[in-house]
Amino acid sequence: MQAPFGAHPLIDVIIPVYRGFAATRRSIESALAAKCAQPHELIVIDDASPEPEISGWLRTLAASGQIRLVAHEDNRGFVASVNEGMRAHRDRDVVLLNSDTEVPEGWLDRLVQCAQREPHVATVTPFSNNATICSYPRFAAGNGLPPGMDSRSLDALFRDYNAAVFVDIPTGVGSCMLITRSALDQVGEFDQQAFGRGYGEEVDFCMRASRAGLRHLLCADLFVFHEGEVSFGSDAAGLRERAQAIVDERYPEFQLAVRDFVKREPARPARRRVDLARLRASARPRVLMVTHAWGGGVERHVRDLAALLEADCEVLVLRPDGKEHVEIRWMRAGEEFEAWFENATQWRDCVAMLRAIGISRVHYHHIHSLPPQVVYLARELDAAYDVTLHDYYPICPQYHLSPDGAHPCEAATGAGHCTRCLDERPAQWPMDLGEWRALFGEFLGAAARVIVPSADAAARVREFFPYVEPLVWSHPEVPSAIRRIFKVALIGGQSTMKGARVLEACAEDARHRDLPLHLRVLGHVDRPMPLWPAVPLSITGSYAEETLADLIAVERPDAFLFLSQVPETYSYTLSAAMQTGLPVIAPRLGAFPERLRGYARHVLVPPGVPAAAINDALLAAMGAPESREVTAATS
Amino acid sequence: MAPEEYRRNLVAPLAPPPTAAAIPKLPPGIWFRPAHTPIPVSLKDLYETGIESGHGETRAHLKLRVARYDYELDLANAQLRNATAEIARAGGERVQLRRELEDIHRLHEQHSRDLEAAIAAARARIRDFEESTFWKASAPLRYIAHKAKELPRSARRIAHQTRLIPPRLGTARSIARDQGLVELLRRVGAKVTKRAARSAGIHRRAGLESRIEALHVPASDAPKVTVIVPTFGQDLHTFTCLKAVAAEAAVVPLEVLVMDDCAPVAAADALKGVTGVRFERNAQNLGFLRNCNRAATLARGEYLLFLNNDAVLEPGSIAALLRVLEGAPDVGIAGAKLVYPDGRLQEAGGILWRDGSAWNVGRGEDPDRPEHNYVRDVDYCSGACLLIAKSLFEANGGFDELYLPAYYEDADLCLKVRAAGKRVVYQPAAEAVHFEGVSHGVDTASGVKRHQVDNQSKLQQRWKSVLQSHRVNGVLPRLERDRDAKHRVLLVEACMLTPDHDAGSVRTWKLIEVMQRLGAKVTFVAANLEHREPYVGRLQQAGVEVLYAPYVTSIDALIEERGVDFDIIILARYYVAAPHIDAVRRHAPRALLVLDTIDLHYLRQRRLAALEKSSALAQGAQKTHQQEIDCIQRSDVTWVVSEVERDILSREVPSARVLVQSLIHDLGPRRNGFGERAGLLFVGGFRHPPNIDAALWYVGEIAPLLAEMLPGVTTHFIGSNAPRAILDLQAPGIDVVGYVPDLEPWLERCRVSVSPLRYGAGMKGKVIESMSHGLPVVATAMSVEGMRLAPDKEAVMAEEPRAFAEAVARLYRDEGLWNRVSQSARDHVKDHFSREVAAEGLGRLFEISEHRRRG
Repeated sequence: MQAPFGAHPLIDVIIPVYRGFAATRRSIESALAAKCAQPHELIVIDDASPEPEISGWLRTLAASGQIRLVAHEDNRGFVASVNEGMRAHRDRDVVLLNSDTEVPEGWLDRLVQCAQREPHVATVTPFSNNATICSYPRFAAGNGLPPGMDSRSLDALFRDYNAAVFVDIPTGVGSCMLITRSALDQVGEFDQQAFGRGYGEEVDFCMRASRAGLRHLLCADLFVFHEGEVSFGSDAAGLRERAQAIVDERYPEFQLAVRDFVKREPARPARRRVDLARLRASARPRVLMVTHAWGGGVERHVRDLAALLEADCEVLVLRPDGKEHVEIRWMRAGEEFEAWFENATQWRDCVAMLRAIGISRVHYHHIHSLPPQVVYLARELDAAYDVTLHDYYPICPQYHLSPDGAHPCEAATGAGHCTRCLDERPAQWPMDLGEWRALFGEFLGAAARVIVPSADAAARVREFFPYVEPLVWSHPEVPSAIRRIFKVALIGGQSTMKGARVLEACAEDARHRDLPLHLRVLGHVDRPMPLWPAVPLSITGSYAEETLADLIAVERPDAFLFLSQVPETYSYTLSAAMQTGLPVIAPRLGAFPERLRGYARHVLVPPGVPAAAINDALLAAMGAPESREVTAATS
Repeated sequence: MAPEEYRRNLVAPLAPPPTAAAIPKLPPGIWFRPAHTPIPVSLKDLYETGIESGHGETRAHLKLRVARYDYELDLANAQLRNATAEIARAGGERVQLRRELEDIHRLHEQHSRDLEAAIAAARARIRDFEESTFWKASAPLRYIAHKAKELPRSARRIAHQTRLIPPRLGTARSIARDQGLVELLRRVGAKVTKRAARSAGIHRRAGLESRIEALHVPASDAPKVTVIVPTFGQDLHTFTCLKAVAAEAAVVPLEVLVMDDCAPVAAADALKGVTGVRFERNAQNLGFLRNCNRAATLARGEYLLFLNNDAVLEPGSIAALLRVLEGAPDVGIAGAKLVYPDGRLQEAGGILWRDGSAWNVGRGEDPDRPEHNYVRDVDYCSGACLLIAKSLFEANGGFDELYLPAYYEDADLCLKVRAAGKRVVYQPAAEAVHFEGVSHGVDTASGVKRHQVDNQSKLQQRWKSVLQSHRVNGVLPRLERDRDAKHRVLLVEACMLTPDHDAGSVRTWKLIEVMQRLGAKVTFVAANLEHREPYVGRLQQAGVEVLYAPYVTSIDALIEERGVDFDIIILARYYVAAPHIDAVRRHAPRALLVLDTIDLHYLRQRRLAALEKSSALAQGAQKTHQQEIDCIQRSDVTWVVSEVERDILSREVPSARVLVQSLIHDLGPRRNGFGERAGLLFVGGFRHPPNIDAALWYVGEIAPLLAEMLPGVTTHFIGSNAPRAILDLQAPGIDVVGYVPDLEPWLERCRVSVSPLRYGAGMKGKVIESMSHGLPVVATAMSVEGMRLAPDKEAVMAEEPRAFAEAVARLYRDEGLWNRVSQSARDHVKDHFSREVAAEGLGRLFEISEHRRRG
């Protein structure tokens, strides 16, 4: 009933063009240059481009017979252009290609082969840097090309490492998508009326096809570069939202299918194979850091080192995940490479993968919750290793030289004591103290370098392992400058009436302008609002009335701020503020003016002034005790 | 160390990347994080760590969890709302459904009535046909023929129901949806077959035996009853009749006389295989009447049971008839319920009208209808199955030959017996299937009619003066049915009377008995319309008409339909009364409306509220008070059980006519003396909350003291419906017995009865029962409220736990005191709680009623 895919020898490659000459030119030239065995015709739709050079260039190409050009007199929209292209030959399979893409050698052959691998295929989409669920390296995100790679070299890795691999996907992605003619025949073309200017039209089409029992495939052995959001310009976000609403309405199953797909991410192995290939191909040496999963200072140190070494090395981290697995992660920003191995059954796989990556050096930071064989990992990788000690685990399985974490160890060498101690909290590997120290003595002895962050630590290590010569390297830190920040207290519960909205605005302004201000509510706020560290605003929580004086003393504010939006009749909290003699900033409203009359340091701000003006007044009041505003206010 | 220096240090030894090994084949699973079972952390722990201890990640996690719980809670609430709405919708649908079913039912009733009228007409024609000679010859075929007639009838019923179905399809669909198809089928099936089962079904004894076989009737040498079976041929009938009688012989010492009235084939020959029976053959045909009279002369039994040879007794019938005759000395004749072979009623006793014509009560009706199932005085019983003392039969000269050859001889005998001051009683528990029309084989159809007319006028002539007091033919048969009733009383209680379970039922039951003795016909119905055996059966055998579902659909419907029949309508308990007072006033304006408070409910609740110091209970009591007082104000007469309550009411509702109708207690025996008794007795039904309170208080406060004062003495707790809290009291010295069918052994066995009620109202039946058996009682004032007991004379009184325990101990040890209290208590019961005292009160009520009726 329906013609099999590829029944017609020719495929139409449809490129709708609107604006962005450079990208358009790169796109079309790559398509013209890419050698493909698959016979095809390039059909370019010039949808009345506002850039004359585009139209001119296209006409030249058409004149030389390289493309078939359809030029619109007026702009008809993206979807209309696509539909028109698809109608050009009603018996041909088609490939949609955006005008901001770049295709590699043989790209069409691989797309077509993928479509032929399975029956009932409606669409085929390749990997791309910018294609939502078909994105790489990061899944469901926009990516640039990995540093040091162009689209052709990256495509070569996909071609080589994912040969003939495909994955079922819930929808194709329109920037580069093959559509079979039989699917078009069955479910019709794109819905021009609903998605006239683009976005969502291919999802709508794909969902119709899915409902008709057809499939959508990700072609895992092809990578097509896609710059993204060139053709649509700035109103892309609005278009996307509107399209999403229509799709959700028509296909309630769509979100669920996508959510499920994202959760399962079945194309992840294909991504990881390319990740692995890129790691191997990297010109930088690979360093493996071994650490624990406890967070804290060790975690920070490892992260710091990874950042420090970003330009020099590919840093991988091995750490425990639960008690039975290890996790390996590539620490470079923008990368998602992660792998998990079960200690008991997959340690060999872990080592094999690391050997394939090619590890130059191992750097141990901790061994907690890792399997015992981790001690020999560097040896297995034929790599030298460094050890940085963050506690005393080689000396004692309690790590911190304390039997209970509360008292220092009194008999660190008394065997009887130690036995009792270890009976209570045994070592993580089944060893007694002697075996443990022997193991780690050897481990430290074989390390290229043993690094400790303080001389004291070095002395303690030497006490137990005299033959080890630790290097004392304090941790690398950039001393962060501590600036003077002025603390402004607001007393009492802050409701809308008391100025909670203005308070939020002040905090946001202080963050925005990076002012040396911290707003501190002595009390509570009437609803959750952004707090420190997001903005320089924090709350003490409610206080008992009789503790207010002490609270003010403890908080040591530099000034007091009142933001009442309604006329106060008296304000007890003002009394508390005035007892301090510190600057008081209050609205010129209600009882404030009369009560503050005669109080030396105060500023009255007119009700309704912008938050920035309040913040400026605050800074001025705290910076110059006899400020101009004071005079102005009292005059 | 400066970062740059640190970096240089680290990088310094790094060599260029080694030649990497080939990429191995890796398990695909490694790219996905293994699932970890999250360690469950309680919200409390999260709060403590995140909020109280300030741990940021925990706080973030807590926020997620709280959001999720809120979401789930919203979801659950939404589901709950939906479910509630669904329930409400289903409820509405159910109401609608019930309404529709009632419509169907009404339509169906109408249809059935029409049908029955048509059937009655057809039956008349069939009867004419049956009485022809052709019919007699074909007698064995009748059963089959009957079935054949029945078939189209049920087919019509089904067709009618089927016609009703289309407009009810919606209903049917909703039943099928809500309750399943099986339920729907059950309902449809029930509707199609229900009526059939009740009024027109094949009686289970309808068939004749298939042939005459060997049969032994175990006759007695000293028969109590002589069963007289007059025959003229129809030997298969006779055999069927005898076979049923044979089964009775096991229960009652019998002899059976088969009186062959000179039939062409001698009965003794036709029934060769039947042994144990006396075959007597008349030398010549005497006719039915003289045949019976001759039989009486041959009988050796104390009683004569005249039984037509075409009547088949139900098991237990002879004993049931005998029970009526022997149960009361003034009963002269007992007759059975006669049923047609098709299951409809032939006769439930007979009425003789002023013109001497006879009516078979209930003819053609459903024999299970309640009005046909209580023992009742009647004008006459059919001679087809009639039990009379031989002496009485002879004293009245047997069946009067005035009525030769037949018809009306039985009615005449009954009138004679009644004229002699004896009663003729219908016993529904005795039942015979009567193939009427077979027996009088010698008569021709025209002859029967002639004799009927002649004999009716003979009877009318003879009994004119008596019949003068009877109604004209067909007028108010419902009243004529119990013509002798001096008062017609309808009594509505909340539930079926269960005198073996609660004192309230005992009182009501005995009140009914006293009312009957005063000449009242009592109709009893439980507000819940329940039919609970054995109580219904016992009441019916005691002559009480008991009504129940499905024959009564609601109390209001009953009052609407029959209210006008009653002189007195007693509604027990205010909450039973309240909904029906209006209906009584509307449909029975003549009736005296009595509210039997049983005990004053509001008083009891108010006392409980005070005891518990509960304002909620006090509010409840206030509401009850309002409703109860309202009922009292709207009633003609209010019954209370004690003078105390009467005094309270006379203050609260001065306009109310309040009569004391106390408990009734027959003086029990007192067999065992002080020395033969041991142990303490607590009696009280545990459905009554004050009794639970009393038991718990006794065990908690008094029993521990008694354990010291009377070591080794056990208290037995007896009462039905004991809840868990009572059952759990079981301990050394505390014996929770629960329900016992007969209290008397315990009243004889224990030495002291305790009644530690702390609140309640009304009269405590169990205290009086103990006293009536001479079992001394130690009681709180509340327990003996309204009984006018003298302390330490008729009972020992104590309030506080210690005083109570000491009183028990004193009475338990002091034989002299024990004997004095025991005797005084019995005297007191006799003086205050006897049937005579009750009868006085009821006499006043009947006076009021009569006064009202007259004026």
